Amino acid sequence: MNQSFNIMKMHLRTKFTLIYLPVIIMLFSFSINLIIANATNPKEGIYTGGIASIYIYIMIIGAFIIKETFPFSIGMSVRRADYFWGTLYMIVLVTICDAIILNILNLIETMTNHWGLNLHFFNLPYLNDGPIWQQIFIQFSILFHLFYLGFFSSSVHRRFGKKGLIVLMFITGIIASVITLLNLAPLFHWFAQHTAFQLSLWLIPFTFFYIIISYLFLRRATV
Amino acid sequence: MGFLIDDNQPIFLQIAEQIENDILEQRIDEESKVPSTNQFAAFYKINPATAAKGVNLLVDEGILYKKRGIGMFVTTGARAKLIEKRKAEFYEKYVVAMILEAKKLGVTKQELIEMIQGGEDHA
Amino acid sequence: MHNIVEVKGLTKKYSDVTAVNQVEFQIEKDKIYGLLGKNGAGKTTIMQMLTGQIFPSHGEIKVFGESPIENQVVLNQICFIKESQKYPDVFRVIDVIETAASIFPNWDQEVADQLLEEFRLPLKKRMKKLSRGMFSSVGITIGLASRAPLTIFDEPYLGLDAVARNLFYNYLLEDYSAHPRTVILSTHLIDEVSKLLEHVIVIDQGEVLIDEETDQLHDYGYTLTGTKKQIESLIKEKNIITKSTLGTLTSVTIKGPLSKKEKEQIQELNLDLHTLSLQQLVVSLTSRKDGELK
Repeated sequence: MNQSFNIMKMHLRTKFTLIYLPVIIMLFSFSINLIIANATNPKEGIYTGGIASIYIYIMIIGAFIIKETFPFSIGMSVRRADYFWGTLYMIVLVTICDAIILNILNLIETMTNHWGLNLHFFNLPYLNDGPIWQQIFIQFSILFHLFYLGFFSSSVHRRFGKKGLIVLMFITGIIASVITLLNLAPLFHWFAQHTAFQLSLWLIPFTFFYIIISYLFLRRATV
Repeated sequence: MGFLIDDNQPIFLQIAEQIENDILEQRIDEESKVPSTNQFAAFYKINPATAAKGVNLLVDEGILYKKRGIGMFVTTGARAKLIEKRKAEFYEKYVVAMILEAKKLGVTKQELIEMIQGGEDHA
Repeated sequence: MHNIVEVKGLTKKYSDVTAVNQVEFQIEKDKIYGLLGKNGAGKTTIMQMLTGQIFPSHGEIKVFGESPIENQVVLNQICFIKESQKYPDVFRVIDVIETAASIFPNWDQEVADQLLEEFRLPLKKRMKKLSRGMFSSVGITIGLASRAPLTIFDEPYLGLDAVARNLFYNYLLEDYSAHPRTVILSTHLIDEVSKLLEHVIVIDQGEVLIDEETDQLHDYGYTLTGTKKQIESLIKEKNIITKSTLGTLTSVTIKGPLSKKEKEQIQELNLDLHTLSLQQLVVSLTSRKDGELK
């Protein structure tokens, strides 16, 4: 029997942290925004980035899931590869669900005339342009990408320890500063020229990169 | 069935000796079944392979025999055989040693016989 | 005889230490093995390599004829219970048991239920909140219920009292008798398990010191006590493991075997002669400074 299916079932045992909590945290952020909107009721409306709470949380899950479940899985005689694939399948399911939930809430937000308060939480200009399937894809690709960003850095830690993580941060720092030293205008211009959907397609190669590298690292990781 | 396993002898020998004692003292009759290896293992908390080694020792000596699929049984005449064997051991281990010790102490043959007779009254 | 583990030239080096050095041994099918030695001798490292959890620096490992690393066929037949096993923070006892039940192909739920009850394990309690003893009991339950053809226990009963340990021994023997499989038991409570072991491998400083059937170890070592003069004449040609004196009394631990003649001589001199128990043997061999026994 394929153990990656059992790994999915194992992850499901942590449904609270993996499935409910991201949504709960986001809804919490939303209710605060709702209260503020209700209290202040500004004419120009409120545009909030509160939706980022779920993005960040998913990235944190990506960063912690290895520490939580990898040593246990290996201890139960599961192959590293099966752990990796089981986790990937599970996360695909979770992030698709989250993307659908976000779009349902987006729909409700538009239908209720932004909760009657002109609060833009789930329906943001630019991000939510395009047909519904594109919007679901955008959310999915952001969530999935961020999960694997967290997962990737954690796999570096698992494979190379603290030293590896420091080196990774160092490299990221160098890349970031080199980019800022360059003339950024063309980059912004490039961004502006593309729709959110097109940009989300650009996330795919990055996500693939993280997935492949973390796979290679995990295959050599020890407990 | 005796208890405790002492550390100065390999366990499988002790198991064999236990069975021998049970036969000698007629706790197990000839042609009756002896406990299985696993029962010995469970009772003495020992590895079944060790128990099997003890049992097989007695099979080799013709004290026990195997009935396929049923278990180990005591051979007819096993008790007589064991008495012979133990008598020889007894002579070797005690009588010879006793005579040697008696010589060392200058105990005469007559004195020795008297001692044995006296000792028998005690037992 | 059918070997299910074959190890050759196995070496594990960390940046500054060699934890396991050129180890070679075989493990035969359906026997109970003891992997013994001091803490830090390299036992856990060896077991982790056998189960593909860490990677050897050099050497060859074959488990069920193949390399265990990322090998589904091999790993499906192994259950490795180690003292330092980590569990997900939110997992309760029941989560661990049910996950194990889904993963191990030979899992026997009846055995698991019995042990959970015998150990009085609170199913709804989180692993994190268990006492050390209960934590160990979960591992023992998994190890026995998995019925894996190769089951490895590494110090499986930290924090367990004598009653619970006996429960473990009894279940192990009972289940092993009914369903023979290969068991490797690594522990420092050697006296307690020595009767369960059919074969013993002693590891010291990353190397194999002894690899023998337990019965063969019976005359591996002796302690002999008497006056200095008596002892010295006897042990001239013997390999002395340890020696201590108290006044005129000398006590030596020597490597066996002793011939029948030597035993008679000892008896005549009325010296005190004891066979070393497995625990005494391992302790005396591995506490020698040079660690050599040739």
